[in-house]
Amino acid sequence: MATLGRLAGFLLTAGSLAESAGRSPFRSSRITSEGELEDTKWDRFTYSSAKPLLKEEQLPIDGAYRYPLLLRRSPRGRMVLLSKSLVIVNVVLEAERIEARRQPLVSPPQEFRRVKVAVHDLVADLTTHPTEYVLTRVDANVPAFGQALKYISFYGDDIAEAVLFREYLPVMRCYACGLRSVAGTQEILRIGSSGVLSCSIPNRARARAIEEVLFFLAERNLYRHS
Amino acid sequence: MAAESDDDDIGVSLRQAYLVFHSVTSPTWKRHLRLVESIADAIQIWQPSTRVSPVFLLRRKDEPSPYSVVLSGKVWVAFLGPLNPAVALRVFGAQADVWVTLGSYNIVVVTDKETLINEVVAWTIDNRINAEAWHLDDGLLVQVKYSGDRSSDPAWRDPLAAFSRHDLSPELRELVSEYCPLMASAVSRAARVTPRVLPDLYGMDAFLRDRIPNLRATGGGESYEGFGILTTVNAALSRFSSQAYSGTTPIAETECHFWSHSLLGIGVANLALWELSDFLERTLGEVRIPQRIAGLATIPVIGPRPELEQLSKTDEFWYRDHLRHFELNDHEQSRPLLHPITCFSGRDGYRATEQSLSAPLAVLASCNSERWSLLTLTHELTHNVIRGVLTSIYPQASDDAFREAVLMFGREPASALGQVKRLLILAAYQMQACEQQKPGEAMRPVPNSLGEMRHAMHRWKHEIEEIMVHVFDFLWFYGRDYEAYIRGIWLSWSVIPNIESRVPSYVLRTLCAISVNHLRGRRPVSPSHPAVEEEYDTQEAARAQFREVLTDLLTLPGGAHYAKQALEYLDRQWPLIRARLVARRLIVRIVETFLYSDALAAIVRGDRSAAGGAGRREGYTLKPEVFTEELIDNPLRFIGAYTDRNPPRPQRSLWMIQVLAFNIERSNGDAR
Repeated sequence: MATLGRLAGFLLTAGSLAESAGRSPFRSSRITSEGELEDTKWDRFTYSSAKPLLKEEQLPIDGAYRYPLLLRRSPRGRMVLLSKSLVIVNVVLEAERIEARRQPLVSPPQEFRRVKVAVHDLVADLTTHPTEYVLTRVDANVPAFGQALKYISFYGDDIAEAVLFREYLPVMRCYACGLRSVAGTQEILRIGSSGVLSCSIPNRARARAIEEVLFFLAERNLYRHS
Repeated sequence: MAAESDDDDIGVSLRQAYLVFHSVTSPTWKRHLRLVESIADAIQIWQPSTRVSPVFLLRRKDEPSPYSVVLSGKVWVAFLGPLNPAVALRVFGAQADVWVTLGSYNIVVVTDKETLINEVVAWTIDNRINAEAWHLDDGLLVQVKYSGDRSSDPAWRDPLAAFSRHDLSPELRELVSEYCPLMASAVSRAARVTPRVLPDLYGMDAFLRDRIPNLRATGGGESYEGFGILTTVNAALSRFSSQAYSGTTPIAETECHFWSHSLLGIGVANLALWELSDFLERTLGEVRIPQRIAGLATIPVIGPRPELEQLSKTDEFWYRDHLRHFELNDHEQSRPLLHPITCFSGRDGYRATEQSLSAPLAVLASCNSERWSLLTLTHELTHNVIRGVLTSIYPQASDDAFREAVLMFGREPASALGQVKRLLILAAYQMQACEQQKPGEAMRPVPNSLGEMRHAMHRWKHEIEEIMVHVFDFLWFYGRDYEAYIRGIWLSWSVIPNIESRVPSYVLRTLCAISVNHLRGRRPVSPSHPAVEEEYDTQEAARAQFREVLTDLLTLPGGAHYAKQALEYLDRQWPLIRARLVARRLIVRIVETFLYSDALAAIVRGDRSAAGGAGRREGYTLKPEVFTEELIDNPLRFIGAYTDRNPPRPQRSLWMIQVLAFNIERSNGDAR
């Protein structure tokens, strides 16, 4: 599988995508389908931009800057949209938003909307009831101490194992975390409370592992829709 | 036309204008609606029936002034709400003008196409939003369409009717006669317009129907307590109902008595206030601090020795999280909390009682500015918590209670509650002794006569409550951030006229609050040797922090009224202030040790949706004056992040109010 390196994007929803299964959920003509990502349930697309989005200096031959998009849809209408940078995903979503609003009222716009994640609840759950996943990174607000101490980040192979972390969890409000399978050695993904997600998909197994984490979150009712 | 997140890109701005409505009966009955640029323009055309409300037009910056042309010819104007403006812009924005107001009908959609207005009305029916559409011909109202006619669950009628027939004293009966139709009106209108507040209205009604007859049964002066409660509730309900439900269907016939909003009322602002109060109830209220403290009566003494005042200031006992571990019984844990009636009042300003919560009318156009920050509400609401706590730990006004208090010093406390009580009485006595002590005279260690105790308890009750409120507010809502706290309270005082005589008290209370950060009295010798600590002068340290912030306040445009006076007083009277500060140390310690918990404060101050980042927006990504459907958890944190040093700006205040009304996420993930 050709690697795309580190990917970033959002957990999203866009109305009933079950109805549009198999069809592109995008309205913008700048987005073209490239088929499935080798033997996975992830769809590949390309976004063509007239402007460089990643500060590229070199001009493309045909004048269009092309960026890969990866999309994984769930039957329940949620999806993950990833690219090489959050900047690209934001531009794509903005283009889609403008398209969706061309026909309001008559056809209620099905804009992509971010799905938030109850990260603090996830971290607390994994700390008190460790199951399939362990924490590899935790970012948290520390709201009780004003300007004196505002944010804390933890890194490690199994953060919840540390007594220090467990002791201080009650005074923290976690907003992002990284997850690793108990049996695995590498971090599968990082996820934030605002629905930001980052990961890499070097092979089919990792693509499947990401899907399993997302299913795990859904099973525990940790998604919150705006 | 307008979009929610790209004002910089397409140059959309909120432009304030006024809708002016006349109902003319001579020679024939005619009703007109006009749009003018200012209140002054409205005054020029004012008639006996005139009503007016500000509206905020979302206009491209390059568009010409809309005031003279926008309602000319044949147009439809749909009033609808309450609805998040971001949703209105998403659904209607491409085909019609969308304006925003502070009324319960907070959205105004303007178009010249009847087909579109029919779609708007149909959409409001599908989405259970109330709406009223006016067809205008050169401003003359020629046709009205309605949607939305929800009725309330009739279960409230019988108990309320029975309450109105209850056998009460004449003075209470008069108040109940006012209360019952007021509550009936509020409930029936809330069911139609803002069903989200209904459970709280039902809760208040149940509380009163239970409390008032019981008070009468106890006889004597207790009925006057009922008189006070009913007077407070009636005033708040009357304001709430008028402010929230004026300007709803039928708009032409529901006038708001807040005259600059007489056409559409200020329902969304009421909702914002309600959301704030609701958040505090769900977080701080659910901690049930007064009940936890009352429960200490059943706990044996705590700590290394019964007489806690004898512990060293560095003893680990003072710094443990006691509150989190004071348990509630099932009954206390499940007892419903009373949600106060929220309203705005020019006269009462910020004020909280157990049954009501008011904010000044000025915040409607000024809450973006620190001077009018809605965070001031936390101080008022804290009074309710502290009063509840004092009921358990402050001797009530009777000789028996005072005698018992004197006797406490001749024996060891028998319970944890006794220990805390003893500390508080000692604190009151120290405050008394500090005022009476002559130079060179030693202070008696404990009170030893009934008269002395009675005098001290009567004299210092109010001051003790105020100090506890300040320390509590500083810890729970400002996270020990002395700069934000001092700025916040002194700027909020700066807009109150003629309080020069209170400055000495305010100086002392401020010092008490920030001195909670210095209770240990030890700090590292240097940053490079954090483990090596030394004693320092804690009163001087608090004074230096206070001076630093007051001096900064003097540099603000417009200054901070009273800051100069406070600085002068602080410098001139420091030895006296210092002695008083020392005498109040025990009160500060009681609040920090028994009424505060870092872990529980994390619930009150945290926001699960705000990411990190050290910026001044506390991790929020909302753009000021840009409406969004993005949800936030914590209205207090939002207010803190988006209230700034800028002067009051109606557009920014409108935006903050709409965010508070529509973007607060419930624990189950519901959007408003």
